[in-house]
Amino acid sequence: MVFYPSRLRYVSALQYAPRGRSPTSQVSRTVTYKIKTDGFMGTTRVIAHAARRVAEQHRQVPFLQEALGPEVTLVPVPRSSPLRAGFLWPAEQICTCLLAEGLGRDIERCLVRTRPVPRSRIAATGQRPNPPEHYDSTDVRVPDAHPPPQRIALVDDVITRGSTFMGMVPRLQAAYPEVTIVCFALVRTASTGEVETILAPTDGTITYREGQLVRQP
Amino acid sequence: MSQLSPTAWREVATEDLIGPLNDVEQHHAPPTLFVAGDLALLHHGARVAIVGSRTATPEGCARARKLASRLCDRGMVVVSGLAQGIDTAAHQAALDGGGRTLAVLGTPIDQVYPKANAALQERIMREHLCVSQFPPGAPVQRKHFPMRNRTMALLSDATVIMEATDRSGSLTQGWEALRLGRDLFMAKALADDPSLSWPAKMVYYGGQVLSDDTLEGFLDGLPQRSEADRRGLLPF
Repeated sequence: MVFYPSRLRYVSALQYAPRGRSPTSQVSRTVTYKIKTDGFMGTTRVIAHAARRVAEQHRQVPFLQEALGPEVTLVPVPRSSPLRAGFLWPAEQICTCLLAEGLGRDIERCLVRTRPVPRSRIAATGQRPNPPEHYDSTDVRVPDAHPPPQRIALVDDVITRGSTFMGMVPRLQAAYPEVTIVCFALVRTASTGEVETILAPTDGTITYREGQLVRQP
Repeated sequence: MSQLSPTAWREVATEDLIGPLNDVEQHHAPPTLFVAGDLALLHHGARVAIVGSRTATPEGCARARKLASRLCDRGMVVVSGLAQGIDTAAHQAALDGGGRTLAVLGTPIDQVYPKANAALQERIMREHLCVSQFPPGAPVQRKHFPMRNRTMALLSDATVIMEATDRSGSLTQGWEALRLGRDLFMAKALADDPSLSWPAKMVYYGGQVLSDDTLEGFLDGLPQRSEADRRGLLPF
């Protein structure tokens, strides 16, 4: 029996509007695409630039300090399908850049996707994977050699409904029962309307009751 | 293989053409590309490759034409390999629909294969854009075509396989698109075909099935690509 938290905290740094028409909303989609493909804008690597901005914000924003820092072990969320050697893994690249900015102690690649789930962006609304599907399609492989984590940030590229975090936290918590886990997404999906800025650090919650996920904000 | 009439082409560093590459992209990227046509075509709109069998069915070609028209309506660039079958259908539909198209060749840019596509290649070189990683005058080798397919995956934001057997060269492109973390779609008819083993393997590693349910989400998620992106005006 898996116990999913009824309420989960998440922290994010940027935001994007998947359907907004304003110039900022449109460019927010390009930024998000570049993050998901580890791309560049001009000669600047977007993930590295975003990590620098997170580090700048980290000095001023208490909830970012609670999620990330030099004592935090960064755990990248697996892609939505199993990974072959040499494949791009955006969440891992984000962890690498956060580590380079002093926002993590180390990276623990302990979560592994063992079978594919539909991707939230492309799946029709009713076919997006729910937390149990994320849980069931993921395994945790804890290495023996590393020093155990003091705190964990579970790191993803984009949070949409929060289903991935909700499904993976119990998997990770079972491996590290004494460790505090905070969820960090580089980009938050602003589901309706426009966005006025792309940099928008956010301290939010995901609630999961009777099979329904609600993300605030 | 046959020679084309002399055409203006030039050699450009791959990163000068499409911007800096990440470590995963650099793995198979050619250092330079030989180009003929309008380089501005790369500056605006998402680039979507439509690829598939040279011995395509009429239904497969019709699907390729339909998707190419849809991409053109959205201002996207139709990318393909100028082979017979699906590739030709995709390029031709882009031209017929007043859209833009990019041909990524498995031959040097001064040669044409198949010969029947000479006029199509010359028109694309004149009005759109042709790219080859092989120096003019170089001999054509069988191994060049899978190399070309990997380069086409690199140049495209997404790849759609319209028809392919278990031995098709298009599969090289599909795997490369997945490796690069780009969208890889396959026609639903392929996913539903019990005689094929590759669709299930690609779906396992992140391939998607193109259907009415997934098309809009796929197209909405592709990059707009603007002059501001190219100049690196980071908006945050």
